[in-house]
Amino acid sequence: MAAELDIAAFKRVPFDDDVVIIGENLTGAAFALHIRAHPGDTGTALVSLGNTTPPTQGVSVTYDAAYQYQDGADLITAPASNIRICIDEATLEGLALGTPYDEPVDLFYDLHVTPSGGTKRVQFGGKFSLKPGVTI
Amino acid sequence: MTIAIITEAGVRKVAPLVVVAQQAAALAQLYAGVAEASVGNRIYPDYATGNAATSAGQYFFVASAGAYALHIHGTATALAPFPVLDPATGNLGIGTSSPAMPLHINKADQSVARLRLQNTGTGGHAFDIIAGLHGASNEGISIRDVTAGATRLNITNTGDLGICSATVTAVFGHTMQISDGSANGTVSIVGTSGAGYMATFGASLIVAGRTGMSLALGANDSTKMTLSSSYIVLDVGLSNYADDSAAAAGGVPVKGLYRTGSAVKMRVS
Repeated sequence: MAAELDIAAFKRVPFDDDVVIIGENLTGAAFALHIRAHPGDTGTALVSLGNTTPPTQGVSVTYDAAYQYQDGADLITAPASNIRICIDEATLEGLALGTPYDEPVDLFYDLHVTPSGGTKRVQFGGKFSLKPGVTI
Repeated sequence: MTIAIITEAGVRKVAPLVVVAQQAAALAQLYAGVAEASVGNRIYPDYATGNAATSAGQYFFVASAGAYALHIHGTATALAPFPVLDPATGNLGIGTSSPAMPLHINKADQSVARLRLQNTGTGGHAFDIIAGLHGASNEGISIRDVTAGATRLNITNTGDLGICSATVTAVFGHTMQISDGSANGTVSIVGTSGAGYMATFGASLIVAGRTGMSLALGANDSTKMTLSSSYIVLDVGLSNYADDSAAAAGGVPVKGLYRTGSAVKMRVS
């Protein structure tokens, strides 16, 4: 089932962040991530990402059979896929700010994942908040 | 930078600075060999040997001399005598950090060099398999009925066998000694019992069966005597003497058998 995950990016710097999926090996999967003004928009996406080799703009995945993360006081070890999303600074700067311009712009996104030999699904999605930032 | 971890339970957003700090602390526990204060029954990674548990219920995972094993510590720092699980072999050691067998118990006295099997059901007893002899020696191996307070089986270091006999007095060769605690000792080979049972006293050898019995004695693949439920066969070549005096002169002992013609006789005093 698709997870709800709001993420935020700053307009003036590249976006390069990871989302870890516990319990899955998504090696070889096909990825597609679009950013649009509203869910349901069918026009050309504001940002369109596909499979890539980082740090090139796009989506990539690495699998860790013994990924460790903290769960309260417990250190959990489990297999996990680390999905890395890279968006160039130029791409983000090309996105328009809202009105007023000092407020974040809430756009929307979701990530399609087609596992190798599997069925396409939405892995996660939600708001993509573009923050105007200060330093240019 | 990880911004979220998605599990079956849902999305966990990760606050970067907090995560780094938590992971650092966790990794420090994992790799730096720092003992942690006890928080209930936890297994803390602790790669440094010699770290002591600070309170009851604290346990450590300890690396030993470059290998990795699970050592469960209580309040002592020594690796022994607490259980050691060797992941390379799957062997479990109690009292040894190098278990050689799937279960290896290593102790220095018969009082504790034991494996106890206990049946708490109706009529059940507790039995100890002892490397040694209860209350007496570290030699041999024995089985003791703990509930009854009696040793039932004892094999000495020289291979002699004692049944209900704590000690074995070897005669020559290998000895099997049977004792019921008094001067009596009975070896019974009993088939399906019929009505009642054979009661005897003194040193006895009982061979009894529902449909019959047979006791054969022989040497060099030749049966010399057969005692069955219907006949006695002696194949020992009884000498022929005219009478008791002649048999005595011929060396037949009192109560020994001889024949006069086809008549079998016994010498009398």
